[in-house]
Amino acid sequence: MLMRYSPFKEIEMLEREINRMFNDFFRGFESGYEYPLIDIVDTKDELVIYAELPGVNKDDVKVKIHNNILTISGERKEPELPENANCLVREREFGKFMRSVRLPYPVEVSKVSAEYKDGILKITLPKKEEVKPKEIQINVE
Amino acid sequence: MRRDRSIIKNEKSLRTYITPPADLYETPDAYILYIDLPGVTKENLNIKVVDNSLIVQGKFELSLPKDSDTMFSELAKGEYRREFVLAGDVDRNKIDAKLVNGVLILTLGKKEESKEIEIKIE
Repeated sequence: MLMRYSPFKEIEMLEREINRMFNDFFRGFESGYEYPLIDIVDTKDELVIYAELPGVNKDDVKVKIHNNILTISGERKEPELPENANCLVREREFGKFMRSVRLPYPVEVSKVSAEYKDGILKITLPKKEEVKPKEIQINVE
Repeated sequence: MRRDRSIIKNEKSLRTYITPPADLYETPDAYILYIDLPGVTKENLNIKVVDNSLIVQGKFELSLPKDSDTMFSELAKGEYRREFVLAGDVDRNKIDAKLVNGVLILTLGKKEESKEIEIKIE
């Protein structure tokens, strides 16, 4: 295509090019966020952690506590499909994952329980006796 | 591993919905659709076919213990919604739904007349 030469056009193109470079560069950071996503809830007697793990086999998830650091790791496997299936759209992701969180206070490691339902992993960590909130009665004389 | 999920506003109802990620596969007899719906129970899930679109809507709520205090929160709670336009060869009466571990698996059967057939040469 023939176009009349214009110096502004050149500058505009350069600007566009630079913007594109910046956008591509920062996109790389956004994509690497942590998996699984979690919620941490504090109650009087225990700490409850909810992790979002849809479509993961119960046996493919491991929960470990070491030095007050809780680690959720495992693998999200692809579903078994009929042999002649053709993939048209693919947005879900599969593979190995691992995430660690430092617990805010010591827990009774021997009493930790985990339950997996509807794609949500719920880990219940009872507090150690010494970190439980205590009420002290103050007598006013 | 990466999570892809965006929150969209539905213009008509002015509500915010979570768009769940989905996978689509095609076999000679059917389309298979996988949608990640973590935290959605069978009771909170609604699947319907309106005209030629398939609408999947589900609610995710965490039933928190009493007197609890959320220290850290990343999970997107609320309403999931996704709309798909059905191809002309989908048989509306042959749609099967299964909810397994927070993943909805929809099998959309194809119409008998639009199935692929092989013609033998004599």
